[in-house]
Amino acid sequence: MNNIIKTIGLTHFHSKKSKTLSDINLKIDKGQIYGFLGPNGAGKTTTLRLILGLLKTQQGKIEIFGQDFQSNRIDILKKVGSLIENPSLYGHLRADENLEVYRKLYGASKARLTEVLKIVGLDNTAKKKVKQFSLGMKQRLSVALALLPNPELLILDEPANGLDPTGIIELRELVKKLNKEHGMTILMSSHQLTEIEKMVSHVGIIAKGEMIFQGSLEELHLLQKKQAKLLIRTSDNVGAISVLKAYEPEQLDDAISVAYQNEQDIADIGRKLYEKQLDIYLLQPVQNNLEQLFMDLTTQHA
Amino acid sequence: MNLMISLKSEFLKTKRSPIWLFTIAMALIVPIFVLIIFKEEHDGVPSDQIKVFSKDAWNFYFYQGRGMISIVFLPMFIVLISALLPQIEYRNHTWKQVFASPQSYWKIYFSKFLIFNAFMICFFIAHGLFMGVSGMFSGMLNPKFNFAGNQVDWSQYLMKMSQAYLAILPLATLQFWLGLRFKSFLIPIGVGVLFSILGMINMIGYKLIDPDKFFFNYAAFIFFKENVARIPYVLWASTAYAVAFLLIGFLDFSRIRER
Repeated sequence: MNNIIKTIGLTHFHSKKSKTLSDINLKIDKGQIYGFLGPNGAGKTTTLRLILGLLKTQQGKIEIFGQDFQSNRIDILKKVGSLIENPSLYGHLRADENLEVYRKLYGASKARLTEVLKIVGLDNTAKKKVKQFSLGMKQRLSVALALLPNPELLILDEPANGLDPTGIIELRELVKKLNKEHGMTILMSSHQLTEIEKMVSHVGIIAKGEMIFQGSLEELHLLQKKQAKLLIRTSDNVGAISVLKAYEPEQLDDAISVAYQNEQDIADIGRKLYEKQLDIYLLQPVQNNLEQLFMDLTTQHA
Repeated sequence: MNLMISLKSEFLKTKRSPIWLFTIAMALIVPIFVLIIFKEEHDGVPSDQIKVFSKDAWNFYFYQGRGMISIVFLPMFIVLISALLPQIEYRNHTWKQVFASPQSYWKIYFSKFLIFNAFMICFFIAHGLFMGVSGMFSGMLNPKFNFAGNQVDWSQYLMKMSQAYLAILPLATLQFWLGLRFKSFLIPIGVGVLFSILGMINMIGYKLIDPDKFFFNYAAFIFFKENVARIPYVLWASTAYAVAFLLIGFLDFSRIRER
């Protein structure tokens, strides 16, 4: 069993006329840190809620640990830690009491409870009730709750919400550590690629309820390279288009845009234009980082 | 995983919750009220009740207390507690964590139902204890009532309280279901108050319908001495209503589309 999560044709309607998800086929293998990306309202949380059984599956199938979720819900949930949307905590209880509510349900020991509080740095909150916690502390306690069962699969929905920059860095280190040292498979959603690109091994991008990319971070980088554009303005743009046919040129207002893969391509383009005796006024790579690619992919889809 | 683990988890959620305080406060109302209203003298005139009290002070005192809770305060307590308990989850946005934990839906539902019942039983026990304390004070303040010369018939008291518990169960199970079902506590409170008022009107005001047919009359029905012969029937009907509401509630709870 290599697939930890596999969804087949997952489709969900919020109401009869409002389709929230359309044919989502997630595939997350053991040991991956999977970043589930998309703008707000794209369908990330709905997908995660379906995976955890918080929403009834309408169309499609969900398999976790190679088992059908519907018929093996309890066995599966024993091995899954989750944090969905806002922190789900009892404000009138202390940090350790919040974990105690779930400790025996997951069959976790008292030592594990202390350990997870230590991991998230909340082992010294003494008698403070959770309602007196800052949002960041609540978020960290929610992470501790998700870690309590020492899960094989950790599902974190926008875990960086409410965390300050230091908290985000700590979360990043924690996620990497859990994956590396404990072999946890981690699925985490975010609406910001920059927030998670430094920790994920695989990425799924969703927009308007449809998956528009799924693959490794390397594959995303490849796509980024494929989508790289060079902006060119010469003394004869029409002539330049015929010279650069191999680079799929596109006529803009007063310039042309061509696709390129690497710096060698830029040199080759310059050389070709020079050989045709065209004066080059502008030869500029368009800003093309992963964030821009993410923006392009999601806005193109919109 | 046994039900005890889910039950313990549910019990822990009520720790430091104001619901405990509310239960005690509700159980205190009637004992304080009877202490105030039953006096040897009213404006210097000896009370008519001295005669009744002196024969069987404790049992009469408890009987009066039971009447007040059966008709008014027990339904009110049930309505309010059934709305307050699920708010622990709604107010803290914790339902999703509960449903993402490895528990079957029936364990979640029944453990919550048992905790709800624990509060009811706590209310009955606290009421009994406070009535005892109230009776002692009443005896000190009103020596002619002759509390010292009488005893409580505990077996009778326990039987009547058990009957009161059974008679309120249909309203309790219905309210429990509605409390879990709706995020807004106004809906269960509204429905509960409506049924409680209907029961009160039908039992002590205008008898509009056969009181032994409808569950909302039962708590008050069993209190009136003229209904003694019908009590066994009412208790069976009450149990049937409670089981039906509990099962319908569970079916509905387990089929909720969005958690």
